Amino acid sequence: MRSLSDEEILFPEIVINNITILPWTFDKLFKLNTSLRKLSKCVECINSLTTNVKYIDVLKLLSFINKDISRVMCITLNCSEKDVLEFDLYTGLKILVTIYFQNINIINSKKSEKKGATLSLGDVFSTLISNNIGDSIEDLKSNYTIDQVYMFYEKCRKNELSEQKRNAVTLAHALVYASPSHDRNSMRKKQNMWDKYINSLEPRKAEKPSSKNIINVFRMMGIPVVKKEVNK
Amino acid sequence: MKDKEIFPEAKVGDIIIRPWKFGVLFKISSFLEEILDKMEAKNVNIETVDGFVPYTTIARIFTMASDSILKIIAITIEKPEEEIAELDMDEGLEIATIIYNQNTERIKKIINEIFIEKVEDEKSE
Repeated sequence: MRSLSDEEILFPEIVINNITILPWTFDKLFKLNTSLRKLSKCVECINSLTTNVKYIDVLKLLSFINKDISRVMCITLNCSEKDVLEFDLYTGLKILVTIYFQNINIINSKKSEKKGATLSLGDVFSTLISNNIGDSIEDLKSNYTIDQVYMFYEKCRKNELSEQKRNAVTLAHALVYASPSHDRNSMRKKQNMWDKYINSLEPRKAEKPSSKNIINVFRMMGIPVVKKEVNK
Repeated sequence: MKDKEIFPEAKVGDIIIRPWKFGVLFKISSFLEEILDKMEAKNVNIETVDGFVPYTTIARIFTMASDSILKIIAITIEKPEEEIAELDMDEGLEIATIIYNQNTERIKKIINEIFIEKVEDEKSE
């Protein structure tokens, strides 16, 4: 299973013959649950395919094309069963393969699903709503693909953790700043340190290292840096 | 149109055999499953000769799973089962062979084109 890039998750739609195919939302996954469970043998067959497809594989795959497959297609494409049955062979199979690959991670992770996962959907949805992503649970369930929900959740958690880290660093700086100073020099140094730290939080005010500072860093590591003569 | 050019319909006597549409797959899948189960039980393999399944293999499968094959033929040529049962052996076998070769080769090509390509993509990334 390969991980998708942010761009692939944000813009996942694939169009085949004017039919737009989007990866599943949680709402669709809940509706498809029973059908997907019944199709586990089909998934196993697909996963065992190699580049050298044999006639027997073709027959096996065709034998799985049943009511559950048409239900998966109808719910995924928001269309009627009649529409699905009217696809030509190439379009129908291409759409089916696209649906499989768009949701491959979910389909295969469902197969290896274990009870007692620490992360509940409630945690995920409440984190997103508290970060103003999605208006309601209904909105997150129906209008965001599953990959999008998890991507945004990871980003929210990442932001939360870096904020906590920043708070800890600020607290450490504040403790140094507020500690008693024994002379004016030490007081000035602490004031400078504090000012530098506060400025570093604002990108526009963040201090850029001068060339002299960079040369000094190299010299401290034992790497001599000399000015290069330029021939005119 | 493209399909018609590449996979023209075949004719056996007055019977026209057209390649399957996507919707047909939903009607025949359960019968295919029955055939596969019977083939597995009797250890029959489909091995191709020059890209086609030999007449003798089709005949063996025919004797094992005639009921299911009859149903698939009826759905494919859109005629009642009774009418097909009335056909003579040679004609019936010829129709079954045409249906098999007309569709499996085509579906194999489609699967190779759209499925294997994606599997390779997934593996290479």
